[in-house]
Amino acid sequence: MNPALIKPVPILIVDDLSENLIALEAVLRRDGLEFIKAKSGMEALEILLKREVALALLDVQMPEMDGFELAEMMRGSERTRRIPIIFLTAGVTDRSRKFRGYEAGAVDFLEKPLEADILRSKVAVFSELYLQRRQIAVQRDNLKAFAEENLRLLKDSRDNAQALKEADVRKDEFLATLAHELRNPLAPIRNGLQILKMSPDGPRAEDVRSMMDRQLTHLVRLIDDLLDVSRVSRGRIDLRKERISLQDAVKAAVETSKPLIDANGHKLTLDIPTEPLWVEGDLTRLAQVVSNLLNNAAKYTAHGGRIGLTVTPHASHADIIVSDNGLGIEADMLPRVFDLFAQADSHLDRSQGGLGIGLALVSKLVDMHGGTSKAESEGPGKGSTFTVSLPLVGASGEVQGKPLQKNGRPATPMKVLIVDDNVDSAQTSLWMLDLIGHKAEVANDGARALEMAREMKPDVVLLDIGMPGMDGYEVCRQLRKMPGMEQLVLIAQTGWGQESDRQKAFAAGFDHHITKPVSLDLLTQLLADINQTATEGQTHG
Amino acid sequence: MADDGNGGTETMRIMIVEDNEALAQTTGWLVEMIGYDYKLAANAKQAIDTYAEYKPDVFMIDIGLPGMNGYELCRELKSRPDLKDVVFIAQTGWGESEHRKMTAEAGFDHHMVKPLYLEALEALLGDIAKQKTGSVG
Repeated sequence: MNPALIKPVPILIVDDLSENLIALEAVLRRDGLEFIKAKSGMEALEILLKREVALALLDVQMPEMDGFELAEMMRGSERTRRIPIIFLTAGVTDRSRKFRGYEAGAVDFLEKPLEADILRSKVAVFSELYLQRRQIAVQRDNLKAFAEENLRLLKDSRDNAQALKEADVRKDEFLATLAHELRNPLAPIRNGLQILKMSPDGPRAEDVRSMMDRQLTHLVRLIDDLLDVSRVSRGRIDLRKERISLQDAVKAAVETSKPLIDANGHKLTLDIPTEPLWVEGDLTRLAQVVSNLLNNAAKYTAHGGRIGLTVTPHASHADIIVSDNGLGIEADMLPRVFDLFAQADSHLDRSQGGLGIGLALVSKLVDMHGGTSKAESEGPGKGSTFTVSLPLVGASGEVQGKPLQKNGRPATPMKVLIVDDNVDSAQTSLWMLDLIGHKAEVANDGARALEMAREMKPDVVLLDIGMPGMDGYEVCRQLRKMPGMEQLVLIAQTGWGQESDRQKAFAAGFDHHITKPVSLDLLTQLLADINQTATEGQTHG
Repeated sequence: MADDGNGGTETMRIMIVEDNEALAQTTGWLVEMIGYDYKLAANAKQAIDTYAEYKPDVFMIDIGLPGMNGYELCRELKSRPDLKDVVFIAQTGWGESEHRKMTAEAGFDHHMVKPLYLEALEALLGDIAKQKTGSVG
């Protein structure tokens, strides 16, 4: 129950004689009533200034200020004018005095000697009225609070609906941009194919082929980025963290981004300390972070710009700072540059290529390394500065990871069985293997693969995982059980490059796991390695 | 300029305005193989600066150009008296009816969605060439 409703009902009694006050209180006293006594009009007014009163019982005949004067004063003040007043008079009151009393605001006259029952019942009526009024006030306050709460909830749900709507619009814009961005490299590839169809060995053929290669690389990168960002957003990316030197990641990034920087005629200035800075991180992912920042700078800087890459060590962290003198960033865009799809709005004027996911990836990957990212720009045309801070770990002499050896030794011919339900994919793999001097055959499903393996006794099986019917894992397990296949090397080929996918492939009995699309270089290298291992006699079990 | 082998009829000239370098170049080669002459412009400014010297019969304009976009460029070129007989083809990745309406409103005569189909391009340019020789002779 509301505390306002439990408080006793305050009743003011005013009489110049203390014995009258005591007698009145004695007659009226009961639970739920509180009596406030005053011996003069002045004292009563003082009390009324401080306290709320439900009913006033006023003696008429008092020295100085009489009851009528006091009632008039009460009627004159906003605070007290609604307090019901009962006059207590000695003896019979004449009409003119009563009239004056009612004019002053009395609700009743009671004559002394007072009849206790009548007085009690009148006080009871007024205190009941007072309680009801108080209850209504409490209900009104509750209703008001309730209405305010409803308004707030309504506003909240409107805000949420608005946020959802905006997210939906951004998603639609992103999908439109995505379609557009995928079509960008596809359109010249189609043109190239048509040119080659009309004139396979014409003067343009070589240019067309290298153009198609570049556009395809671009397409693959777009799709890799997309897959990465979706994995990161769902928290399904595995970091292979180890103690690495930050310089290694930075160097790898520079190597990756140099072609784009050079193609745009930019000058890249490096300021990197030689003393190794150790971080606990995934080399590939950190290189990707720095490379994305460099690519971003290269894309958003007019031809012939300046790009700076600085690494600054501090006590517990290191800053990687990538700055450019390019297009800069609008102030209202700054807080959003790391948001996914942030670039998706201005699709007409965007000629830079890309989906606006590079920076989103940067911020998420840095986050996963316990670091922070920030963007600064003085405004459009004033260039931008991106700073990534990563926590440093104590120095250690342990250097992990071995560089990929790259030597173009000629391939010793091997028998390779290609298993892929995608006929085109299988055929092109066959051509590639043919080109690098291996003898390859194709099976388009698992059952056929097992049959052919029995006949041709291959050295290597290149096996697609996602096939209808018997999948790659199953084919792998069956092949492993086949007699005479002890030396067989099995390579899984999938569109999924996650650590968990690799583990699954190894568990099924694969020796290697490669992610599609497979480049000729990688395939050449892998088969050469397998060949060398085989000749050295260190075979896999 | 490539000789179209039409004996006397001047080869139709096509100005391709496209900022995607690979797409511009391969579109140019396709146009050349079909048998017409082409010139590339990477943006609206280049197109405006060079068309008077090249005197194109047809403009193929990408909508998503940096700076002045394809709609604005088309409006600008259409307002020039020396280009009143020139045919404008919009080239865009957007093929919805609202996009077709926008290109038509900007003054384009044709709307082609990327990637281009050689057959469609050949047919369209053939029709334009036929109309041109018809109106001249």
